Amino acid sequence: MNKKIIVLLVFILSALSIMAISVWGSLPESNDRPSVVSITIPDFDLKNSDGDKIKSVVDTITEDDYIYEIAFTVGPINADSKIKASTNQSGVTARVDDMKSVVYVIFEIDKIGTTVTVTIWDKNTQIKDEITLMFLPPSEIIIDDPDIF
Amino acid sequence: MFRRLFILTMIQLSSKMKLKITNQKKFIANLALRLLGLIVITVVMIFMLYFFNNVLYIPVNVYFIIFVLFVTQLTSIIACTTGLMVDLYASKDNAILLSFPAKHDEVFTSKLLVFYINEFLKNLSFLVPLLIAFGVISNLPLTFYLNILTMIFILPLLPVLLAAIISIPIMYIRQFLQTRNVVTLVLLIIFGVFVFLGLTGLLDEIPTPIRIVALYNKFVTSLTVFMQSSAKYALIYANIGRLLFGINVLSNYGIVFGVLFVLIALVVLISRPLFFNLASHTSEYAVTKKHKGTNKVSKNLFWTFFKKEFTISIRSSNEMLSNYVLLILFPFVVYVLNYIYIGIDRSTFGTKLVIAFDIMISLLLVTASNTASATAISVEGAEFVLLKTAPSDTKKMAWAKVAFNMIASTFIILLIFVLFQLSLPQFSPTDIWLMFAVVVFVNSGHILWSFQIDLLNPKLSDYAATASLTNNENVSKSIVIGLVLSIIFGGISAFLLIENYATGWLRIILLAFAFLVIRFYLFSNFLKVYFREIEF
Repeated sequence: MNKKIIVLLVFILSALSIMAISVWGSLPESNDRPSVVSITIPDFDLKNSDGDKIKSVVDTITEDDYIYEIAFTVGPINADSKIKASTNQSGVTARVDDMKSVVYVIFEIDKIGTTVTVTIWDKNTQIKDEITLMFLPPSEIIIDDPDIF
Repeated sequence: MFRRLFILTMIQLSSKMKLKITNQKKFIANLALRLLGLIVITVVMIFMLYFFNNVLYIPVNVYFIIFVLFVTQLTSIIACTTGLMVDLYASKDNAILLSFPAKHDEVFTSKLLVFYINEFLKNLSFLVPLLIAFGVISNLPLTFYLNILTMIFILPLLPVLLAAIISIPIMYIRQFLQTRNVVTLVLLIIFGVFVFLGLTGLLDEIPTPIRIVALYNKFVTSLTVFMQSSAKYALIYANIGRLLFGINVLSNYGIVFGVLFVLIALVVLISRPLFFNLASHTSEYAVTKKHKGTNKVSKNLFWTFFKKEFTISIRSSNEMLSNYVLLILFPFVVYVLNYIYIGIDRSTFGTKLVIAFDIMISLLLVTASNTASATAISVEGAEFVLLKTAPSDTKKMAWAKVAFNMIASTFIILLIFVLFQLSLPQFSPTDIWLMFAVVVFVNSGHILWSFQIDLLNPKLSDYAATASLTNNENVSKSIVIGLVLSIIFGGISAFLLIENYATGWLRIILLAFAFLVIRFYLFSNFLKVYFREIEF
């Protein structure tokens, strides 16, 4: 037994104590929170006639900067939400940070340049919003081309 | 030249690992076992990567590999730097090696080769299985495995060469700080304040009331983003990661070999001349006494020994720091944990659990810091015999050591609890100071117990021969007893507080005080009987 093991034990015990207190020592969460009414991605460049949002990431996503942040808002603010995110491309991963209301989209090197649609939805109500990230300047994007979605 | 280099390297390696093949069959069996071990590690790695990818949803891709490469190599650089600081510039074998019929350049190179071989073996047992596992689960082409083959030899070179350069300024900084305790203390405080501010910034990001599932999700997302974005800062390791995956292979190989060339040039131009300079001078004669010692007659033996302990602790502040290193960690652990505890919407039952866990974790960290007491007599080494021949009651030395350890430990704990109250004003001050009382009583009892362990089985001759406390069994015993005490007092606190909060506190404090009284009684009796029995 040495001090390194004690440090490890302290970390394990700390994690266990947090779990124990949150399971047995916390008050039940109130069920009077309203359901999600809307999820909105406010930052986009173009919108087609069907309401699909498009964002140009041609100079934003590069080999050295391959993580894109999509901010979203959930209405009402105190809604009981379970936010999830997904992409339509393998090799492009989406991770949600509920606390910051941000979705991180991580591009693998060989996927940089590929058009990706990111969907953000609430698991409880299935309400969703989508955005398509394209590697073209906004002026070259044909918004009503059905092949891009 | 190569033969001399080979002999020098083997001489140094033989003191670190078993090289002689006495039985060929046994050697082959050993080799087969090692190969089997590597296969098992690779299989475990495959499952681990699958778990990361499919359970934690952390993408296992090129950035993940760059992150793993970066972290493992950073650890290697740190380990090599600390190792080379001793082995290259301050090793006792320098005098012997330099007296051999070999060129000084060869001695220097052989020292680096020993570290290179160590790194090579470490990589072979961890990094290579990981990369193979990654290739298997990602179904990568043959070129990936061919690139691994070249990296097996290139990767260990980088930490060794980097460490040979980095160790120079670090060694100078260490030498500068070794003689300036106040500067070390001020730097430590500044470092502590920065860590505290960093922790506060991180904790402020967590919205209250804390929902544990959301906190877990936040943690995994942050970890994923951190791992995936670290490739930006991984420098040469980002190039290595990319070339492994067949991205710009030639240009990345060019960068890697370019960096290696620059590092070798720096080692030859800076590190090599310094090695000769330091290896041929010892610091023994560099000390010049500025003050003249005068003998003073002291009428109080206890006070004399107490002052001696105080002087030793100031002169060897590094040793004191290593003894109380867990107490430095204590305020940070307590702050982070209680910030999270307070953030959870707790029931009254939850509040009682918080106190019980606080007592348990505090005692765990505090009692593990009493290693100085568990080696108090052992560290006297060969001098203990001389001390015992003094014509006075030398038992008082033991009481002086106990008193000094108790005062130092209690003072640090007091500071930590003051910080606790100041940083978490939402926490009930009554509970904080009642906890302080329990921790101090149990810790003082544990100091007496640890001292008693060393009193009954001092390792005087071991310490006199090695001047090292590594693997000291008295230290292990003291830590185990501290662990058991922490669990017992944490459990009893939970039980008594849940049963009746007000009387529970009273009973916990009485129990802790009773423990202290019993340990005091036992210690004083053991001291009376066994102190005179201690022999070298």
